[in-house]
Amino acid sequence: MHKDESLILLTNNFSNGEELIGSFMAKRPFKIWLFFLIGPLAVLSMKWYLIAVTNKGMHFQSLNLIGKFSQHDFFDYNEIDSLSIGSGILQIPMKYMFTSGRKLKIKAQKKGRENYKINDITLDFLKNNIQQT
Amino acid sequence: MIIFSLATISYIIILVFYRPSPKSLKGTSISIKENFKTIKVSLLSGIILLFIFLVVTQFSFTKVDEHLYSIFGLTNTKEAAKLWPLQFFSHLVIHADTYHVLSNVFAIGLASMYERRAGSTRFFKVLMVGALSSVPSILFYYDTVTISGISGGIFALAAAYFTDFENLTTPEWISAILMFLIVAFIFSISGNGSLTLEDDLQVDHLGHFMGALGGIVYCRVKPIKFG
Repeated sequence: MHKDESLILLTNNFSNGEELIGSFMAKRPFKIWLFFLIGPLAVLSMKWYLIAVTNKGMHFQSLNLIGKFSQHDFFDYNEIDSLSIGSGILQIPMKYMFTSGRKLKIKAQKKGRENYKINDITLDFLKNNIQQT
Repeated sequence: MIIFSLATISYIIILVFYRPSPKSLKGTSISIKENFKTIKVSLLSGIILLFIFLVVTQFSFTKVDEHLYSIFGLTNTKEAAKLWPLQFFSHLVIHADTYHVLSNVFAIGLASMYERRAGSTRFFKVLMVGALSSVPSILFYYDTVTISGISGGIFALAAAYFTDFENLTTPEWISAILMFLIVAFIFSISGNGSLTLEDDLQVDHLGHFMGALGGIVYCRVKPIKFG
């Protein structure tokens, strides 16, 4: 899917009055323990997300193996328990804890095209709206 | 018998107790019973293959009984023609040796990821289509050969894992096939850098290819539909 097209599709999920603060690509790295069980195929457990940060919450759009939209989840900021943000040169590690008990460890792209890399405005907005650990 | 018990127990434990997180971030973890329902075909087919191999090896789980193998394996000799209707199906569930059956069962376990995504009915159909599509490979061998195993079906499942998605455009479909071919090629290269075409196992690579092709074509002709 073309990147510009993907952002338009993602904004289709926005509700009335929802404004985009920023968007970025992030990957959930593959599970290391799977490597010992299935070898290089463990890479298939890696998952890509296109994430949109808005004034109302966060949209997580997962992509399937061939890069098409797969699953869309919206969380308002009350549904995200905490967020820990690491540091990096090319990627920023992030760990989201949701109120449902699920957690998501991702690495957000710091370099790349506009709208697909995390910028300082988006990062500051997340820090101000989600409790830090 | 020890190998059979260890293999079967490990297979059941790994498949039943490994519960991947739901696709949706809002979903909560599924119970073991729900997990069983999502992998029932891969779980049962693995157990059945192991058990049949145990019987064919006369409960030694090491060496196949040659007489049984000649009856149930698919042979391309005219003398065995009257057994072809039986062998057409029976050769899919018997295997040549322990390594053969264990690798196929391990691969079915891996393919359970496809069953979780596409559903048990779809998984079973692709397995059968792939397995039966691989059968004509025997016509391409000049020498007398006996083929066995469900690896054609497994290759179809592997191909379907990469190519079976909703609303694929032709370029996306082709790129998905290429992705599968690259992965299949990487796994066909042995440690010394050569393709593992010739070895003691006499692997039916043509059958694998035809099985994968069967799976790809089936998924294209009858595309998956969710909801």
